[in-house]
Amino acid sequence: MTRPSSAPEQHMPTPPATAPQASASASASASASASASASARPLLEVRDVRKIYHLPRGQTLKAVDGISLSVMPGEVLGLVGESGCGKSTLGRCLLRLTDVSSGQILFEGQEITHLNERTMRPLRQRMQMVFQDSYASLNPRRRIGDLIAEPLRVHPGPDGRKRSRASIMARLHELMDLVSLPATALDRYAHEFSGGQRQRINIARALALSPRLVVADEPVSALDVSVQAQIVNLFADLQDRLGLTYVFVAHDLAVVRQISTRVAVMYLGAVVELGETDAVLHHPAHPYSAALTAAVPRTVVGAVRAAPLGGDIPSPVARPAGCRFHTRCPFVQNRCRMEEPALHTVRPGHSVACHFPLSGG
Amino acid sequence: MTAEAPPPPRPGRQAVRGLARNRAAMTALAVLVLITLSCVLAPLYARDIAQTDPFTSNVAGSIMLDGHEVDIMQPNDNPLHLGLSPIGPTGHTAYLLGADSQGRDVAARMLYGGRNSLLISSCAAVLCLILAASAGIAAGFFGGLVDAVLSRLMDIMWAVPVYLFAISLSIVTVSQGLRLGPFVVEADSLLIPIVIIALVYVPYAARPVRGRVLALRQAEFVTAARCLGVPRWRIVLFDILPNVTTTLVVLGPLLMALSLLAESALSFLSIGVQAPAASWGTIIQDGEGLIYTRPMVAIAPGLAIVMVVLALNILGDGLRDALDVRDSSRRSS
Repeated sequence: MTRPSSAPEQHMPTPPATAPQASASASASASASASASASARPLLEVRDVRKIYHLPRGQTLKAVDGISLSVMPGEVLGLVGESGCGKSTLGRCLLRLTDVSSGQILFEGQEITHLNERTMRPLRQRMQMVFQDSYASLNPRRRIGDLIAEPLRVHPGPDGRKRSRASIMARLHELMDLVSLPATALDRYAHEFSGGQRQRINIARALALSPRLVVADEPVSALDVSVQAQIVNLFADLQDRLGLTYVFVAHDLAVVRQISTRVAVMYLGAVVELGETDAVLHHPAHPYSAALTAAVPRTVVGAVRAAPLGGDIPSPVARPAGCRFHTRCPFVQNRCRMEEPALHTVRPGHSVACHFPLSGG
Repeated sequence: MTAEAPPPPRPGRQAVRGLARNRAAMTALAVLVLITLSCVLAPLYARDIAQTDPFTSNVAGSIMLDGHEVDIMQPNDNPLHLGLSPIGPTGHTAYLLGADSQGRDVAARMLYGGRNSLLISSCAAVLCLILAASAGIAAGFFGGLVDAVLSRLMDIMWAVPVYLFAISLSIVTVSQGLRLGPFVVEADSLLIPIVIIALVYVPYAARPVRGRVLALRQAEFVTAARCLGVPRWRIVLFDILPNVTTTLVVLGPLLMALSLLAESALSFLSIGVQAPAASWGTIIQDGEGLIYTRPMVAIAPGLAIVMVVLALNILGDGLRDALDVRDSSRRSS
């Protein structure tokens, strides 16, 4: 344990205290990983992906700065971080809506990084996205029925032929049922619905083709808190029923906590901590994760929380040298200013990019 | 959501309702309908009311006015009584607005001319909108090289004064017609002014369309469509086009007004509608020589042009308000 003396003792939960928690989450994930090991390979794999924007005057913005991840079938990977940390860009890169600058993206073991629009099209049936802005993501001039039917009209049916009008209609009703909207909604326009209902429409559209992977890009952050819970529950429910795999992007740990099996915490374009949801939430190893969890209402009485972070996220154009978090880290050391920490494992299934992780392992 | 709510309000219907409440726009519309209707009925007017043939010279003719036989061409009332002037406005059904220098009924020619003027300007506006929508959508949606080529081409077209451009094109085509492979367009065809006018105003209309498409391309519902694997042509057809229709609808009347002015200008310069056919522009030209003695020959078609252009502009403004489109920038030529 190389915790500097300035660090408060409370930030280091002792290993024995974490044991029951850890074993509980381990057993929970054991079933998940057992089913995952049947298909062995990850559904989605991201290898050292970078997305660099070239700005005027020779500046570069590293929106995604060397991220490696894998998502197993049936799991929910929560992607959290402040706005501007690159999590939405990563989400778009995963579905090839944005081209990556370097790195590889593998879906079902197939590299999709350089597929073009045409070769990507068949794969899109199995990977879908739910967008943050439920209104902007629905064409205001088309009826909901047409919007949801669009993927069904574009992609061939299971028999490899164009779907019939009747089968599309039947599927539309099925989908409306699935997201608990009345079938009459199909004849209406997006502006006639509330934010939560529109997000249900978006979900129905994303699920129209029965995808395996759904990337949800902050699907609830624009909604009222009461509606947020409904939509998150809908996501969870659909996952149970349809065996979906999610990459769930959020800036709010409280939302992620409800649904994720694992959490990746992002800061300035990189993953700083990755682990089981419980482990990251209750025993964060990165000071940034600790600060994020401090913002979440606790269920455990008397749990100690880190001080909320001060200051703003630095501009990704002028990323700090050394550890990208050192400008805001309460435990910053000289080494942090010089040397960039790599993501390394502190516990099985839990890795962190910090020279001085909070719970030394 | 209220499941029992009556018919789903289509986005277009609200706009129609908004327009119907706009008194100025509805008046303008009524004026336009009235003028169009009377022009359409021109043959009836010529045959049954004025009882003349507005396309043949009638210099030697005479008409009965209040029981007197009056010559169409009358001695000038200048001190020396040199030369002849056509009859002025009679206040009767025959030669209501007088005759032109060839003794033809100006009122009847006005209606026939209006047919051509309105036909050319509306066809030119529609053709221009189609071309501009294609160019603007292609440039805005595909971007890159397509955008660069199309936008520079339109910049070049726009750099030449519109009338100068139209005049140059007209002079070439009026003298020898237009031959594009198997398609031969006669020099006196109305198609020539239609195509020319539509062409010169393409940049005017394509710019706002391109701007709108640039914004739409970034819209999340377009990203969503891409994510669903929707082919580009479907995105253009179902996601982009319906969202630029408001821009096009607002541009329509304004373009028609501009086209009408351009048509009149070309016809006035004898490079638009060719004799013996008439348009408001050619009638003004007929009236030019009579401006001191029979000003009505030039004033009447001029007034018609002013009224139609004004009505079209008011209607365009009304449409803009009803559809709440802010992005179609207006440029006067």
